[in-house]
Amino acid sequence: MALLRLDGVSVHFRLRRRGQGGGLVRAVDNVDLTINEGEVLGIVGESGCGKTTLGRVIVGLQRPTSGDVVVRGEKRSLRQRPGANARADGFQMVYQDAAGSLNPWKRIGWSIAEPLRNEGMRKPDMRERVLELLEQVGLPDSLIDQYPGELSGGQQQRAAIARALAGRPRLIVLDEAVSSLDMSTQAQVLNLLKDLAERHSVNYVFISHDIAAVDFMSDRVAVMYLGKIVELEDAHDRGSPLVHPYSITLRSAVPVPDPVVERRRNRIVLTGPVASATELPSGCRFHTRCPIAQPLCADSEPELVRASATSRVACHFAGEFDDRYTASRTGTSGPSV
Amino acid sequence: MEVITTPDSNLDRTVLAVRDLVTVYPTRLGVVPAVDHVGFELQAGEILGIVGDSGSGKTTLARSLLGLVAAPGRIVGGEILLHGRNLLAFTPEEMRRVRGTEISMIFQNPIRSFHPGFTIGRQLTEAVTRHHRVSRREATDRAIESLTWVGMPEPAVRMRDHPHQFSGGMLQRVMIAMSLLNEPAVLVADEPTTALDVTIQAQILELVRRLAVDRGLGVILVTHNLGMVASICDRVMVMYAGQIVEEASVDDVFARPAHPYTVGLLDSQPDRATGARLEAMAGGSPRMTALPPGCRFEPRCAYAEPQCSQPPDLWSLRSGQTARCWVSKRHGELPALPDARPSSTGSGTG
Repeated sequence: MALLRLDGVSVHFRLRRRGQGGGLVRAVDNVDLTINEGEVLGIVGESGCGKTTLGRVIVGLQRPTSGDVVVRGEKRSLRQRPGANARADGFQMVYQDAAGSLNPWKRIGWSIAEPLRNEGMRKPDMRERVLELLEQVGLPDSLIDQYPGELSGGQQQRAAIARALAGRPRLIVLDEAVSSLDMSTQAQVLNLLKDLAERHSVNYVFISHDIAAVDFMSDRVAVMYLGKIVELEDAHDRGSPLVHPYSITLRSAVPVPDPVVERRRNRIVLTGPVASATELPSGCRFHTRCPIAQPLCADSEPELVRASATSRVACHFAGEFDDRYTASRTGTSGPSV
Repeated sequence: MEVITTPDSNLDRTVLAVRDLVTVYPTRLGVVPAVDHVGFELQAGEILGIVGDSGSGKTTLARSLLGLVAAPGRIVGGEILLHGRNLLAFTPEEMRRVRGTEISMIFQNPIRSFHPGFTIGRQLTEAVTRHHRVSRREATDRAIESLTWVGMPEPAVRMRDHPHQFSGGMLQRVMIAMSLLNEPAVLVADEPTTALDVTIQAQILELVRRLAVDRGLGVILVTHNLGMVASICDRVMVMYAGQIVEEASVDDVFARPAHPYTVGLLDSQPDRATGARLEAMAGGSPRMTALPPGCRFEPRCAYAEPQCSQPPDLWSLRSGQTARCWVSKRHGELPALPDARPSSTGSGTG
């Protein structure tokens, strides 16, 4: 059974700017998405694409403007306070800035025990559970009485993960949870998350701009662009690449740590203007920057339809943008935007 | 770009030579050597990458080059030779003249590097008139020209805009334009694309690479992103706990790293992972106030042997690489590790 289903979920924010009238930001726009038991869903996209807002909807911290959130077959009530939803569903969120999510005036043990206090756990049991959690995330017992400021960035993030695990959650939304860490620490925390998923059967939604990290963590990947999912996999297969022109561009833009590969590859450099979420382009939202845009793309918005055995894509010309095409195009990669 | 040759600059292509540089920060727990006897050379048109974890001293090194170390930090030793002249002997006033005209720097977050209340045009032309006795007209032309170099569409129009009217990528271009206004020989870029989206990052990298190739600009790129290093750098310096632990051409560093820390960095990359787990390094960087007496990487090192309790030097190896490692010194390279490295989820020091 699906752990969670989003049916036509939109989140719109009204801007109130003096003198300019109210714009409407369509942060998330009519998204259908299913999260199955026992899987890691990766959401990748650039800043402003709505991936964090979508994560907050999933965890229950953001009420959708329209659409339904169905948790284990039951529609989530919109009358609840958003935070209460998260607790009732057993959902947790871990943020990029671990230091900012731990109370600087309280000891680590106190912060990790916060969900346990909410459950009404007795004090001696609580200490035992916190020590158990510290061990699970690979932190020494002694940290229980230390303050966040005394910990390194990686240790703080481990503590934030320990707190998320405290209430034995069904799902943890990890929003850029490793992005602020050093490379070597990032690898440690990614390994830790993977181990925890296997040992404690917890689901993740792994949100990141880093396509390599998303690749590594996820069983399925969703690519977002300006509030829409433009590509969604049924199963993640590193052998069969993503096919939406934006997905391909995103992957091409990330330099890989191998100078030989880097010298040989043709990087797709986007040229069109970046569209804003308040003034969405007509038709396909990516058409202003898309290397293979046709007149049709400005007129009609493509639906998310099956494009290959493993993925669904919102593009009129999915599959026509491949390596061959890329190679012939890169002569045009200039300094312009 | 013109390369000025002075009698005491022995190599004509060398624009910057750093020797034995030491920058320290006094702390309650003692003096911390953030940059510990660092030396290197930079050629015209070369892009030198400096990589390392946070706290390794790479940003302090970059700021030291421009005399921008934040107090109470200070440079206590060494030489920074720009075209053969030692910048450390310069007065603050002379340094102000050098900054921007001969060596300039761009930072991670472009929006914080501009005054929000003035137009880009005003800030750019001021950067010209501050260093040169030129007319306003001339300064404006120069500003527009530099915006053209960095690929700004409609530069004359955009001169009238304020910083907030630019996107992050465009503002980073303006910052690069500003740093190039007076045609410096050296550009120090500290994480120039970390705050930008990946598709924009690709554009900025391409721009920096072109400036080095076309204009002979020497570039020092400080970053923690090994993909960026592989993509545009010619040479790489790896820093750990204030010291250079390896220096080599970009191909050598990635093909046969000579220091165990470099190996660890490369193995931490999800891109390189083949199996279900990453080969993460155990532990974390040492506290700078309590450095190990010998090799600073020894406590985390899978290669560690008794000799490593003595401090290693930065030795040249057969391959032309240099590495601060007893093991690679003895073998002439870093040999393959016989048994599996200790894995690391269990370690809590990270």
